[in-house]
Parts: sequence; structure tokens; C-alpha cells
Amino acid sequence: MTAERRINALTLAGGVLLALLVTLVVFGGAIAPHDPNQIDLTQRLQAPSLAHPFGTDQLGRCVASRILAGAAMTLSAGVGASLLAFAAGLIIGVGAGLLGGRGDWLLMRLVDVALAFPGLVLALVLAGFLPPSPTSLTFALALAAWPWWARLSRGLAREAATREYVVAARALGLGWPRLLTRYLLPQLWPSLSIALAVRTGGLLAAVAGLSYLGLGAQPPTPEWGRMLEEARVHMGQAPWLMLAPGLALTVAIAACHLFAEGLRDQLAMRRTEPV
Amino acid sequence: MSREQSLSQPRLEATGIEVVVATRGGERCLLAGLDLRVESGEILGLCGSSGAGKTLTALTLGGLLPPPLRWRAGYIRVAGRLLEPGLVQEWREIRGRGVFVLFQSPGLALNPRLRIGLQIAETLVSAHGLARRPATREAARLLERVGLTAATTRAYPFQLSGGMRQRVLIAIAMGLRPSVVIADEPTTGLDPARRDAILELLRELVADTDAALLMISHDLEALAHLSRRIGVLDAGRLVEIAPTAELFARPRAVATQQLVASLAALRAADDQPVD
Repeated sequence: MTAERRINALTLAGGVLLALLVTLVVFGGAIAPHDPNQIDLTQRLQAPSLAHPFGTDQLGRCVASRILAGAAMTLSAGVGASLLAFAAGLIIGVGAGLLGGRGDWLLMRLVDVALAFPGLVLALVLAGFLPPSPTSLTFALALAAWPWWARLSRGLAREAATREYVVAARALGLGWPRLLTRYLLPQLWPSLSIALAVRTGGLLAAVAGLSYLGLGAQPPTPEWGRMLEEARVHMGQAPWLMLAPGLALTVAIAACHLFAEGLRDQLAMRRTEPV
Repeated sequence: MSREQSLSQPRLEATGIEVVVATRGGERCLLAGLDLRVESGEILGLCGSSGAGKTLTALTLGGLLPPPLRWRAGYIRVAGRLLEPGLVQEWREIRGRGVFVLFQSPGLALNPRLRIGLQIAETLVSAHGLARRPATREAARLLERVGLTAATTRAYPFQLSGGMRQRVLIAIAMGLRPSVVIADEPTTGLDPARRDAILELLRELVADTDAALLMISHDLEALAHLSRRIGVLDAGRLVEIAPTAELFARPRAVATQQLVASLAALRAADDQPVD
């Protein structure tokens, strides 16, 4: 009972990194050593130094400060999009799966159509239609990502509903709210939690990618993908400008994947024990 | 006998029940015109070889037929209500307190993620509108009633043996006080001593709650101990229904003759001295 609750190294590493990133989202702006938007043209394109650990950009702004302040934008857009897509897909997928019949057929054909488009391209088009802002970007990505969740949770819900104890619970006359929260959803959670961690990592990359194309936060707001784009112009003179946002993104995405891997190992380990 | 005559309306009355399965070539009939009546306080045995339609009968009478199975014709009168094919809401109100189905494999009929006490308490909350605390106390009392300790409330289903789990389900039935109990092979996989204990508990359940019990089993001997009337299913038809003594003395249907003959052969083998 207690042994199987032990948290493995991967989950721990991922969890610590994720906690660190959450701290950045909340306090990043406050702990930045300089004002992230303070322009100083006398200090432009400085190499890393003690005052500016990751150097300064083309307008003399402190890169380290911009990374810290930009965490809020990139991470909340990615995580927000991921959670929105997850919630919408879960409700639609579980609903369709339990409903069955025509409603299920219709919803799933809709999902098929949505899944036929490459997700990033779809998000690109949607974000292009909306006024460029982090909120638009979040919604565009969520709109592109929910069908995947609907497909997954529909399958899981249908399988979960056929378990004999769910049938038995229906035979006992338990109501739908209780069946859903105590008998069905807990069965989905192991698979969903792993997928959520992986997909969140993917959406962080997507946020950075679309921001790079100019679809998310607008200058001068610090944002990691946007910073990469600005660094590209000055790659020859100041290659370190790429380093900070690239590293930050890598760490954030790796944290999600580490956490997912750890969860998967833990849940697989538990499944081999007699239940 | 006098009791049967004094009660004008049986607790469970099924008339002309037809169940079909949808296949590519059309609908195939699995239960053809089943008629059953069970009085309150009566135990009606229902016997049949594998595939005769025993579990199908239990699922139909419990309103739990999964697609592609379909209840096509006939009606069921239970707990003062008339049920016809196609009704959904009525079944929701009847399951549990109206009709309680005791499944073949109690290990699969309990939620592996919930402690026994909570699982029993939830059915009591749902059926009788009890508050959480009295429901939990009642759960402990019910467990003691079926010969388990009150400490069992804290156990998870996987920590209990098959016989104990079946006792838990009988405890739930005692708590719900249903008008009709349908027991589908409740003693499968139990040794003779445990089997007899479960049968005795079922008898007590009927005595305590005055429920009508439809006892489904391929074990003619167990049925003979328990019921005064036994019906025999063969290939989806009720081929014979008679008082127990008469059924053994003068089996009319071929299927009954085979069942009685195989039981006699077993008994004869038991009487032979073993080398």
C-alpha cells in the first residue's frame, strides 16, 4: 500500500522543474534584476556578463530579465490552451461515448474532420483570423487541440463503462453524477494525466512557434518565442541571444515530458501488482 | 401455498419477454416468450445449461441489457410498476430498491478504488436519502449482519476473498431492502461450505426483507435446497416450471430430464467408495 505510493526520480525531477516554472510565472517579473522593457541603446548586444547573465538584446534590454518576465506569457498560454482543450475534449468525448447512437456518430465525424487538418496549421489559420494577442493564441491552439482529447476520452469512457462494476453500480440504482465521478472518471485519470503532461509540452512548443511567427504577444511584451525571432536577426553578432529563450523552452518542455514519463512508469508499476 | 393464494399480485411478473440481438442478417431471437411470476417471500429457482439464457434473463429483468441486445416484446410488472420495452427513466427509478441484481462474479461487481464501507454507504445515501454518518454506521452493521467484521468497512475489494465479496453484495441488498432480488449464479467459484453459507444468507435476506428472489443457477442441487418451485430454461425458452419435488420426480422436458439425470449420476458417483 505504502510502497507503491513512492514517487520515482523522473516524476520528482519533472515535478520540481514544473514547480520552479510555476514560481516563475507568478514571481518572474518581480525577481527580474532589471526592468525587462528598459531600453538602453548604449548597452545593445552586450555579451553575457555579471550584470546581464544572458547578455542584452538589440535594444539593450536585459535578456535574463526578459526570460523571467516572459515565463508568465509563454507558459500560461501553453498551459491554458492545454487545459482548455483537455476540458472541452473530455466533456465532448465522454458525453459522446456514454450517449452512443446518433449523437456519438455525429460528434465523432466532426472530430474526424477536425483531426484531418494538421493541428499547428489549423491553429495558425485560426490565430490569423483573430486579433493577435496571447488570448487569441490560447483559444486558437485549444480549438485545434480538443478533437484529439475527444477521441481519446471517448474510447476510454466506452471501455470504462463496460466494466462489470459500473454495470453493477447501475444495477444498484446509483445516479449519474455519482457513477461519473466515482466509477467512470477515476478509471480514465491514469491515461489522461500522462497524456495531459505530454500534450502540454507540445503546446508550449506550439505557443513559442506561433509567437515566433508574430501571432501571439506583441512587442515589447517579453515572450520566449518572440525573443527567438528577434534574436535570429542578430544571430551573427550575438549568438547568445538565442541561448536563453531556447534553453528556457527546452527546460519547460523537458519538465512536462519527465513528469509524464515518471507518471507512466509509476502507473505501470502499480498495474503489475494485484489489484 | 396459502401465502401464494393470499397475495393477489406477485412481486415480479414477467410476461411474454422477447430479447433479440441485432446482427447483420437481421434480429436473432435469444429469449422467446419468457413468462415468470415470483411472489413476495418466495424463492423461484431458474435452471439451465450454459448458453440457455440465464444471465440474459437476469440482465433483462434488471433493465441492464447492453446493445446490441434488445428487449423487443412483453412486459414486466415490478414494485407496482409496469415496464415495457423502450423505457429508460422508469428503470432508473427501479434499479436498486425495486430490482436488485446480484452478479456472478462479485470480484468484478465492486469498485476497486472505493473502500467497502463507503461503497455500501453510497448506495444507502442514494436509495434512502440517509446522511453520510448514519449511512456509514449502517454499513458496519450490515457487514456484521452477513458475518463480516465492522473493520471490513476500511478494506478495498481486492483485500477480500470471493466469498467475502459476495457477502458484501448481500449486505448491500439487505441495506437496500429491494422488492425483487435477482441472483445470477451467486455461488460460482466457491467451495461447498462457502456456497452453503451464501445460500443461507440469501434465504435470510428473503426472510428479513420479504423480497421475491429469482435464483438463477446451473446448480440444480443448490436450487433444490432453496426453492419450492424451479423453472428450466433451454435455448431461450422456459421449457418447464414445476414444484421442486415434482420436477425431480417427473421431469417432462428433455432439458430437465438431462439436468436431473446428470445430478443423479453425480450423486451415484459420490456414493461410490473412493480408492
